[in-house]
Amino acid sequence: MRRWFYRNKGEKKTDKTLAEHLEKLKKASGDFEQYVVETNHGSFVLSYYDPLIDKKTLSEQVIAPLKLAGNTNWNEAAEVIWTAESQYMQDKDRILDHLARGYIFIRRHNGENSGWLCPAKVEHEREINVPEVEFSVAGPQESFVEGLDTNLFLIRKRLPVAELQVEKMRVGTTTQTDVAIIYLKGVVNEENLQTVRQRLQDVTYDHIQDTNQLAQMIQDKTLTLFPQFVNTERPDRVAAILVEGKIAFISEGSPEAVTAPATLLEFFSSLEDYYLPWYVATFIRFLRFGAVAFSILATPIYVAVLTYHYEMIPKDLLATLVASRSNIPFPPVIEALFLEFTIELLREAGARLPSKVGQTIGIVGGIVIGQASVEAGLTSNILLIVVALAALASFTTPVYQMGNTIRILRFPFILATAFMGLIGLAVTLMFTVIHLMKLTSLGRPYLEPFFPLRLTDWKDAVLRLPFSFFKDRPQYTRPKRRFRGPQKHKRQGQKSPDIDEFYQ
Amino acid sequence: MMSSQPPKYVQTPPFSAFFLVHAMQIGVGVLGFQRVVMEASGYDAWMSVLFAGVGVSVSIWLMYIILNTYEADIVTIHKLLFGSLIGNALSLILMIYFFVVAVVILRTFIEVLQVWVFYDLQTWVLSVLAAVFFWFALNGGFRLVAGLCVFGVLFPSGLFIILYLPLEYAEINNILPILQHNFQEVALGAKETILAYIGPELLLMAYPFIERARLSHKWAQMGHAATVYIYFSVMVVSLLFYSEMQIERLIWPTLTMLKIVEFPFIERFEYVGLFLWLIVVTPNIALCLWASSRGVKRIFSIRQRTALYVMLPIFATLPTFFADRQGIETFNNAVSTFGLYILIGYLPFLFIIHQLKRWLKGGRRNETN
Amino acid sequence: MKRTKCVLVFLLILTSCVHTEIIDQIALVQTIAVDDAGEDGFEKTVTFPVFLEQGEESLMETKALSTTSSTLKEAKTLLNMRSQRPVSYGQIRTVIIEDDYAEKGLEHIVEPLYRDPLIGYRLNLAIFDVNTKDVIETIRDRDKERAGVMISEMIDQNQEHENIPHTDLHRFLFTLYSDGRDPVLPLMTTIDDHPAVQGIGVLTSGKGKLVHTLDLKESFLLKLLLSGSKEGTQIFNIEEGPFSGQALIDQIDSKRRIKVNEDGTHYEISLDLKGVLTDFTGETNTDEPKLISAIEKTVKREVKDDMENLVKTLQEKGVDPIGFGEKYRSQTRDWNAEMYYDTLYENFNFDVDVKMQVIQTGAIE
Repeated sequence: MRRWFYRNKGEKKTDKTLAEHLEKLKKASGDFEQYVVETNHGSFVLSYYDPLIDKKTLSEQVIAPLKLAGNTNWNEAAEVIWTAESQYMQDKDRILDHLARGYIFIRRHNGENSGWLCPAKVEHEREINVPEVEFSVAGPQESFVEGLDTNLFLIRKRLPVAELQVEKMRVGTTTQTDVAIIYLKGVVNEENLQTVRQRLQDVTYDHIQDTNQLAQMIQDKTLTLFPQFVNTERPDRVAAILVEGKIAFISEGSPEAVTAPATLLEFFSSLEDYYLPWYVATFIRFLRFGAVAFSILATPIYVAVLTYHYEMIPKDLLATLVASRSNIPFPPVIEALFLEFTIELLREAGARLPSKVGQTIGIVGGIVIGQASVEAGLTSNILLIVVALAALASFTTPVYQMGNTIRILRFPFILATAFMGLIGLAVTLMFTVIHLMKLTSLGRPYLEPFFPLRLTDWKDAVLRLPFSFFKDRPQYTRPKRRFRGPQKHKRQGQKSPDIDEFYQ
Repeated sequence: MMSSQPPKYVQTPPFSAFFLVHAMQIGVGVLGFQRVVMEASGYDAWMSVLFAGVGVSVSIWLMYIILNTYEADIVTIHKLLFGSLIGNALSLILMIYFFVVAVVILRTFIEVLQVWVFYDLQTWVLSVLAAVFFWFALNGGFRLVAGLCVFGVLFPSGLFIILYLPLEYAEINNILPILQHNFQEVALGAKETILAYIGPELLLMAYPFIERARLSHKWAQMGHAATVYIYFSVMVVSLLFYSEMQIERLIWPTLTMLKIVEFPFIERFEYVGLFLWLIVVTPNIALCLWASSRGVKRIFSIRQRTALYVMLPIFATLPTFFADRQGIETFNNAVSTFGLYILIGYLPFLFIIHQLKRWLKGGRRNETN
Repeated sequence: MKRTKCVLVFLLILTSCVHTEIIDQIALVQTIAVDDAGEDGFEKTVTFPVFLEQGEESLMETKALSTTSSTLKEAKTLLNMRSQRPVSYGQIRTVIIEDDYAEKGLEHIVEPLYRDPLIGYRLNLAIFDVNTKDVIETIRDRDKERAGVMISEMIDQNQEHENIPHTDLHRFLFTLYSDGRDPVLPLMTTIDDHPAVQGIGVLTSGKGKLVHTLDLKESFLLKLLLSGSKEGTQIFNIEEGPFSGQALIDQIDSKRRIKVNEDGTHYEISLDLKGVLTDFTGETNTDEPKLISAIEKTVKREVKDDMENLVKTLQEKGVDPIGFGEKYRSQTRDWNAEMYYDTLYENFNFDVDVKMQVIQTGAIE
């Protein structure tokens, strides 16, 4: 609603007719084309933005039929234009809007203010490619691209059912970006859907370039390190969460979909977990939890122990630790911050630099700078190993945003341990825990299934039990239909055959 | 009385009674209850622990009978039983008790830290930090406090096994022969143990916040049983680990015991123990502060936030008044003795009053008929 | 509101800085040596590792400082006055005490260790029959970086694999503050300037005075009674029928049982030993089963005799490191520590029953 409001305000000043307006556009913008085409049944004016138009469509499906057609009257012109969904339009605003989105406007050369709009948008899109950010060894190898229609195609291909519904809306006061809300009717919780719809409508920012940008604008709480929605470039992931009863949305021009609501644990599960046998997947999940804990806590524990709790060091480790630290002029916290900062620098530089240079910086730079700082007596080599491992461990999270969170979360912990050792660590941990408990995603608890405690959801969120256990959907999305399949009654107990006996 | 009923979305499921009771009971006591119990019943202290467990269980049962009849918190019950004035006065005393328990727990924790790790740590630093923390935590309401209890129980439970590791040094002769002490001594020891068991009385405030609260009775009992199990294990391990005169002089035998635990990558587990203990006492304090501020809200009909604005500064300053071991010890004893009388004195009293009142009412109704 | 809260937290953190103990900024004491200093109390020597920065390779050495004082805590202050870095006790591994001082009682040495939360419970205590400061000085010169933990590791190793019963601070405190058992500590000496385990010192409980010493053989027997051994080694002189020579029994695995009668005065000690014959100096071929049975017989007899002698000696000395008092207490209901040591203990009767089995003779027969 707001959008129209703004538009109308600008409109009031230039109360021109459509023809005048188009003339003005031609003068103002160099890529706007407007010319007269003479045909058997009169002359037409074609107006369009040149870069947006597919020339082949223009010549073969619009101009050629117009010229070839016999004497027809204006009202039948639509029948000779071959493009799909051409429509007759009078509303000036909507005509202008369509022009900006790759439509050709055809009107009679007599100053009429209405005419036909023919879609002739040229598609310049990346090919559907292998996922880069969320790469997986097993499973489908395709990822979203920058076109909304292609992305919707990728999702619909995986969920070819009528229940899959897409709601489109325009967001961004200037860009008027198309945003699609996708959900599975009958499974999705209507309350969640209404929340998403409402929040997207309330966005008043002027330009929307990416789904993530949008996700940040509509998340429950902005003063937090933790992402509240999962962003993904994998259509299979989106399809999977839609079936769970969640909601996804994608904006035009973004290769990533955002799914909501999300829990903390969702950021640690990859869809690949479901393509691998359950024991492997469960093992990998625990590895990830361990890696994340290590990544956040390793450096703070080093700082705490070396600054306050030297009693805890076993005697065989003591000599090594003291020896590695004896040359270093700084207290452990400075040393740790210095190294963490270096690693962050390498990581950021590695991501920004052109790929060929980037790889060299990543590996060689890490070794060279690390080794040099150890030799220069700025850091101890034990800490170097700890920090490098912690950095490595933070990459195990399947969702990139969570990796960033972990990167940053480490610093308050390091500072706290520098002030109060393990107690500082515990205090910071408790602060983090209550913060996480207060967080919600679309109003649903973020720490589910720990808080509130729902043990039935552990089978899929914490562990990854065999598929035979997944008879119902997770509770926390409050799906309309709880059971995944038809609810079967337990089979009457047939005794399993004895040794050397078989079922007949 | 419908106004006192909290809305459904802040209620927690019945099983949360398990965590509420258990989290509240495992607190300051577990670090050093052995000594006081042993003063009374020596190496038969483990029996005292079990007896006290049964006693507290009965008192939880009484509490549930009262609560189930009124289906409201203690403030309402007091009003109904004793009238507005006396009832509110009694409730206020109870709320002050809850608040002071929070202060005692905080002060004891700071003391352990000062002795064990940071001898130059200023008391006010941690108490102010705690006040800020609990401000954030209590703003999340009862659900968050209950969540903290779940966290405070589940997180350290994985490392509960380290309490058994000192058994490497166990001397079975220590607890033999059984029953060296007469029943009176064992009972006295049981009374001392109840000091460590205090905590279930928080349910007097938390009851309306539990969904289908009647069903939570068995969970509360199970939570209490888990507590008895932990105290019993700690007691038995300590008895086997220390000789009698050795344990007599230790203030925190449980913590000292962890000194013996050693792994190839870490020694001196008592520091890890301290770390975990902070996580254990946090829900403890949070629950106490929540209950007392909720009570103040109900008694004076003010906002709970307003109550906290007054209470938290007091909470932060009170610990600084207890500077030495002696003072803390006295403070601690006074408060836990008070708690003991609430649990085994006041609750049965309340029960009797309740029964009397019901009987009288029943009689009167018969008359009118 | 939010901002003020943040500022408050920040200020709090800034003012909350507590005393740091960064491991390379403190002197991590690993060994404390206590010598008798007559009237002045004792002379205390501490060792801690220091690093000499020599280019890239840092060289670790052990430094020793000593001072004379009458209390451990005062000694710490005195040491700090002479140390480059503050002396801290959280990493102590060994406390060694000269026997002259041990005879006066260890109560005042151990009490501060018991009181101080910094001190670990697994630290080793040992008694030397020579001046411990000299011991420290010699191993410091020779063993450089490992000097601090050397004695501790030596004791651990001997307790694990050889003939010394397990002792550490916790066990020492346990027995020191127990009225039915007396503490024991390893007794050490130096052989060619190198520390060596010599036996066991038995101390009184309560005061912790060194009153009796046991040699290695006796200490092995004590170990059998206290905890049972897993890997002990003993040599036995075999003079049985046609066989004569010395037999070395290794990896002695023992099970013990002490049975008490009703009134707690009669004790039946039964030992079940299993060992491996690793060496025999006699001429006979070892494949003869008769030799094995001869050895078993001798071992049974010798262990029985030695054990009876040991118990008798301890009884005469009035010390009870085996814990018959505890056994007595756990059996009867009239426990009185004073009466036990004064009258009861000396009237106890003991029966020793030994079983021995040679289970292997190595790779040859």
